[in-house]
Amino acid sequence: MTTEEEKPLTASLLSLFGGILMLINGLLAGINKGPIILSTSPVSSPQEITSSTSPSWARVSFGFRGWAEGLWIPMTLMFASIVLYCSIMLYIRPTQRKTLCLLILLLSILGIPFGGGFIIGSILGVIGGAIGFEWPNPPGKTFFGKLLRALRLDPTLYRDIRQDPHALKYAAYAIIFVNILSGLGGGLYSFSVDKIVNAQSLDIPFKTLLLGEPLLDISILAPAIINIGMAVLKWITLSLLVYIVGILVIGQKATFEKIAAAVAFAYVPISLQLFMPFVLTSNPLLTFTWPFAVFVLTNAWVTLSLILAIRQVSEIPLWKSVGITSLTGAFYLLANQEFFMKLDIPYSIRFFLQPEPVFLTAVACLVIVATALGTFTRH
Amino acid sequence: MVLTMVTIILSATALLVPWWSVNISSEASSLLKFTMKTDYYIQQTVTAAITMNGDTVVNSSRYAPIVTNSTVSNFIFDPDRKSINLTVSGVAGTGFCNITIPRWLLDANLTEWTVIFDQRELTAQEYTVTQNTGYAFIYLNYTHPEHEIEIVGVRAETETQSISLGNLTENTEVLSLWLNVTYVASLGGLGLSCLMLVLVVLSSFGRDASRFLPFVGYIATVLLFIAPVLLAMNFPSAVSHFSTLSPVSVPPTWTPISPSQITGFWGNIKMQTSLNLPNWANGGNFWVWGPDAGWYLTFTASLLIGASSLLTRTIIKKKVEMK
Repeated sequence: MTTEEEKPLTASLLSLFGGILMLINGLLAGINKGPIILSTSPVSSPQEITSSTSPSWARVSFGFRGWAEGLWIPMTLMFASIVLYCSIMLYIRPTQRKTLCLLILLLSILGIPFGGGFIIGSILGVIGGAIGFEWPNPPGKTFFGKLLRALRLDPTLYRDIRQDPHALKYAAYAIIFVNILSGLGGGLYSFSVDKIVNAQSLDIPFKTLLLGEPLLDISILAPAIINIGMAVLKWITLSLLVYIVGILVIGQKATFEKIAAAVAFAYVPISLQLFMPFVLTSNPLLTFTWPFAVFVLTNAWVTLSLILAIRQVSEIPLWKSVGITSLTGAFYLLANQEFFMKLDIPYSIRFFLQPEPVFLTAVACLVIVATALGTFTRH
Repeated sequence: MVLTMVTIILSATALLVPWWSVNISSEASSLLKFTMKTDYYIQQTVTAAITMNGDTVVNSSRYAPIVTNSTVSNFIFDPDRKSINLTVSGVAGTGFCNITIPRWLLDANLTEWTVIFDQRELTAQEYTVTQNTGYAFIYLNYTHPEHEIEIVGVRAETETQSISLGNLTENTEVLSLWLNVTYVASLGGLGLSCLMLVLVVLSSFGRDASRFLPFVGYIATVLLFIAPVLLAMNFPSAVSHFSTLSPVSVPPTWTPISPSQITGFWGNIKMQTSLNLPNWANGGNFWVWGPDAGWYLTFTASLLIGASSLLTRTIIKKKVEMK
């Protein structure tokens, strides 16, 4: 991925597969006369999944009801065919890449309400289009390539950041982009859950859970927008903590700029929260288990990324990096729970570690882990 | 070449699958425990299928209610034997069972019903049959613990029926005409796609056939594109004067559908509260209709062969530039 290509093969292949998936999804939705909804078990009434004693049930909807049906389907097929055409043309005539990639990007995003090639197709299209746009840059050195490398926990990414004079600029873009995605995912999910749980009748759960009708409102943009400002503050806080702890404890030489860039890319797994609203579940799972599982998974991923980022940028052993992450994590948790999470943002998902003594014990445990790993020992 | 091959596969498959269909929606199907689908093929045949979603119908108080003090299991509707089978069980003591059978599903005159109880045919004195226009009610007593009951009627709704348009009593000339036009255009498109593939293969062997490629491709694109578009434009008006849309009769308890309601190639009829359906289901579809696999495959094939022709033109131009 990091070697230069004579032709934009990776971008072309990614968008080609994206186009094929969009085409298959469109055909299936057409034959089905509605969005493709996969559920863990058949349900004939919303009562079966909205009561507090409901058995575990989940569904994923590829496409929105009202969009992935009727006359929209031929249009979806046209979108998919144009993506296919553009992706092959991108390989044949890379000089026209800007127009072609713009089309691929636009149509892949527009395809999401129609199923987006089982979502994966749209993702491949967006990545392919974005990577192709930056050709002849090697795919791994493009903006999306870096995001993917961060997701793959690729240690060479952070080595590249160390040497890249423009790393901070891309890091700022990454923070903004990642938090727009996670804000949209969280906003859409909590808005849907709010409407389903507080519905006066069963018609909203019926339409949303069983038929795949989306619950959309302009207010779901609020968490995405507020998330950007909040994310920048959190990013600076965490970067400062890592930097200060690094200087004080291990006497590191990495600059704040490099630390901040690495921390920004470590945040990338948070973007996966965008996919949270695609899966809706029965009631006990809907309000806590599913969002909590996504929250834990993405944050655990961020923690691993952060350990890797600190290790590579500060050029320290793994155990030392784990120690610094634990120590900064303890301070960060305090700042997060006592300040950032106290701000009441509409339709945002927040998890508080309570009661307070348990929270403080967890923070103390992180400090103990850091001490046990010999973080404070200078060699 | 790959795009052309895919086009050939898609347009050839399209000739074997239905082009338009009307069926009860997935939400209505989950409520009713029945599925009904009528398919129109380009070869002038209509196939209809009505299926029950397994024995879950026992749980439906709407379509096969059974009032009993026993436990009911193994409920099976067998359209070939024109019978309903079930097993009743319970602890020792007297049991009773009142089975309500929808007459559109299984029917007989009052004296024609046969009840077989543990492999023995009961006499008319051993059970009671009453019926109204919609339902037949069969009541019998027994002693527990477990018995097999089979109720045999005279007429049963067959699960699938296939009929040629020519055998219908209605005037099907207009629909036949447009189906024929679509068929010829699809076949033409398929033939030209095959020719395009041959030309591509010849070009790859050094023969100078490439200059005809875009031309053949464009004609194939036009034919494959107009086939589904013409059908979409003319199908609704062609079927709207039919007396029925399906060779299988729609149960009287369902939301009715008539050909005059088919005003567009795509469409739906919403659920009606008057039909004993839950309030929350309002707004859901009862009937949905629209193009089926054949139509979509041909439409997709036209887009792919169009893309293939444009790409071929670009490649030829590039080769000329390089020379």
